[in-house]
Amino acid sequence: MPATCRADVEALLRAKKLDRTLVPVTKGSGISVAAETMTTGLTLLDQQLGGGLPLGHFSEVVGPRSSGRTSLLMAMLAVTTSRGELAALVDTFDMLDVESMAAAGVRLDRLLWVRGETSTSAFPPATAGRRQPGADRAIERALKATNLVLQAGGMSLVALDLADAPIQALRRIPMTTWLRLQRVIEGQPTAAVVTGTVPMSRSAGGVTLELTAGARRLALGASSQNPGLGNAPFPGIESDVRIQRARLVPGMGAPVRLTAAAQVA
Amino acid sequence: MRNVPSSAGGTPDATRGFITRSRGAAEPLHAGDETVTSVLLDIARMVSPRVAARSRYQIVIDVEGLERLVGDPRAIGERLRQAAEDRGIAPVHVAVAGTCTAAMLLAAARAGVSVVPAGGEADALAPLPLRTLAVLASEGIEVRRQKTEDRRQNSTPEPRIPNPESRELAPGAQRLAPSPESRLPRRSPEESGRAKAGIPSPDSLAVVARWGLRTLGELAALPAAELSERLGQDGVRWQRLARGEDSGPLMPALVEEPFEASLELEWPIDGLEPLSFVLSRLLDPLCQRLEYRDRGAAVLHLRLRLVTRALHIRSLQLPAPMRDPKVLRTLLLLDLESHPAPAGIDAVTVAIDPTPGRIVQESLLTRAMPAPELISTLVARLQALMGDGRCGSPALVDSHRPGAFSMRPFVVHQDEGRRQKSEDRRQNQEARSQKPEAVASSQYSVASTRNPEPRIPSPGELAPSAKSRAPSVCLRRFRLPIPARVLMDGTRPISVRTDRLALAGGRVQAAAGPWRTSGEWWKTPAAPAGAQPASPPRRAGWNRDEWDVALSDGGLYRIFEDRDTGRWFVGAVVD
Repeated sequence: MPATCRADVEALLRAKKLDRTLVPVTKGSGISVAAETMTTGLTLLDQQLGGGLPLGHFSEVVGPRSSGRTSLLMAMLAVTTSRGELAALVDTFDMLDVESMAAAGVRLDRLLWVRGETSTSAFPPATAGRRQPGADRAIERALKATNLVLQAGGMSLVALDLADAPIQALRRIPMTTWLRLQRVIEGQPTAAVVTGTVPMSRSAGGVTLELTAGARRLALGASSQNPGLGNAPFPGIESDVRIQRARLVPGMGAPVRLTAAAQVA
Repeated sequence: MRNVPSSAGGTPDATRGFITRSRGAAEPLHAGDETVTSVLLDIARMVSPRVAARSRYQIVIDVEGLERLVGDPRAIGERLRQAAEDRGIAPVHVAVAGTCTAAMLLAAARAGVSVVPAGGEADALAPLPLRTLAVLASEGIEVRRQKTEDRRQNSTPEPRIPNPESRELAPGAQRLAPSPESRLPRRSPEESGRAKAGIPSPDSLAVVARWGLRTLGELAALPAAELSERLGQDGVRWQRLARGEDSGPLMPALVEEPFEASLELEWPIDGLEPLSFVLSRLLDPLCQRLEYRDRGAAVLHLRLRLVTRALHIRSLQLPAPMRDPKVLRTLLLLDLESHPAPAGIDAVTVAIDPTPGRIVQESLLTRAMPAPELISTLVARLQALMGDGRCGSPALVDSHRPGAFSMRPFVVHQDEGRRQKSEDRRQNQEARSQKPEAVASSQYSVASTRNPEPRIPSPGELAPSAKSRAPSVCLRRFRLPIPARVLMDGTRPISVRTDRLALAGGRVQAAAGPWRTSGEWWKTPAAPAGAQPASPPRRAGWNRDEWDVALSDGGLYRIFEDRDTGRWFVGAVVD
């Protein structure tokens, strides 16, 4: 009897096109692994993901500050734009550096850059209190801009940068907002990526990539332990990329090392 | 020998009129040469709508079938001459003949009105001097050059200096001998323009003149085959022109049609919703006309007459020619959202600057680019949401200022796939030239294989530039640097603190630096409005020592000390 009920519920969800969202992927569920993917720019990661980020889904790149989230995002944008395709980047707090983008290989003329409010709203003075209306407003606008870009279509990669958004502000975003965005991108040949500190918006078929900065400290420690290295160039960062959650990826392997070298001027 | 004109320029009994103005004979009524051309065109359009301007002072008219309407060819010619006199640009030369070429040569050679019956062109042209053909050498090229100059100096109000080559017969005819420059083997832009116009080179005409030929009839009587052997196709073309044969059909110039529509409202409207309906009513027929003419809108002008009798004018530069009324209406409404009219609207006028329509060749092998209409609408919506200048493509600027960049309009090139392919090819060639051993091995493999199979690139090779590039460290810049308190141990920072909740700072675990950078100290920015005259001028440049530090809070930061003020700031986060 419970099995019959479950089958009925799943059939109803399938009729409403909600099966990918709410039905678990099992052998008999009838949900196939996403076939179309977009490369991330890291070969090992692509192999683990079965080709890369799934198209038509929201994926996430999460991690603490300086863990290489932006470097990984730029690698994705570089791969997309160097193929001659278009990409959009919604920069919630207007923090991305154009020189870094160009150094990462992003073709700037194929990138639609939507700049949000200045970073002051994400980093208000301590005297302003815990309530941060500026951050809320900036995030709301960025979500609206992302919605517009996704609805317009034509982009191969749409990135929403929430890496510096306060966690409290992110938690105030209604779940329906993410669901609405996920419904917009469903079926489109577009990959969407959100960068942040914590997982927040992965859609059913998307993946969550978590970056840890443990190895990065070692990279810097090598230079800091050398007292004669005062004016030595900044070596770069190293991080581990781990597939934290991926519903439609068959298996998760060992963490992939992301080494981002500093650009020497 | 009597030569009957062929039907290259129309039916044998077709009649062409030609009108040219004698510039040296009278002071022009109008100062600008374009005005003289437009007056000549106006006069020509009095008798026929099929009119073509061959140069600034030479107009060709198709007068076939006008006998019942205007009169016989002489009456038509007299009417044209009289109209020119009335408009103050007399004297003009008018000729009516069966072909354009014959009419042009006759008008160039004879003053007043000349009429040649159809079929008698060669006989009429035979006694004309050979230098008459020079008028053809100058026409056509001048029109093309004029278009190029117009495009280049679109907004320059200076009157153009008339080209002496384009004047009437006598001055032009004296330049029969080729200039030394024209003997150069390299083809000049003028020569290439002449070739495109189907006009033979004047060099060969100078050769004919050196042979001792003096009249068009003598040139027309030469055997064509032997002329071709000696002068090539240019000689044959000159001979055909001497016989009065046209090298191409008459291409009548279209009347410039203003794409403008207005609507006077019975009651003033306020707000965008009622205006949307008005705009639809105006834009729909305008876009239909654009489609009939195969034109697209390059610039969209909106003039709103307000109840205060003031005008609210907006102009939109479109990135690509468009004629979809819904898109144009949306763009206007989005622009008005950002720049609303200050009062109620009494009258609405929409004007469009037309441009030739867009032709797109899609590729089966690359992903189709989104339509410019879609991108324009998206960018307009984003700008309405985020503000002006907050949306576009980033661009690097030629400056050492940290974090300097500029914004450009986001434009989609429809041939992006082809551009990418050629770019990849160029990069591959460069890579091959940089690796001689790889080239040698590939040559060997080709030489050892009789029928080498075409190699199909793997999907991973589609992005060679990005695949070969290792990820690089990216900065997240604070556009307004965050003030910081930095403790120093000798010359090295040991602690960085800020007053921001999300950026508390911490103890320095590792540091690299300092790197000194300064610039633009010679620039002084304009003082803001209302600034006190005695206040010290603000600095436009920068002068700082930068450090990359790893703090105990887990973050990597780029901090700097402003050397002029001694204050510390957090400039960026490494991520």
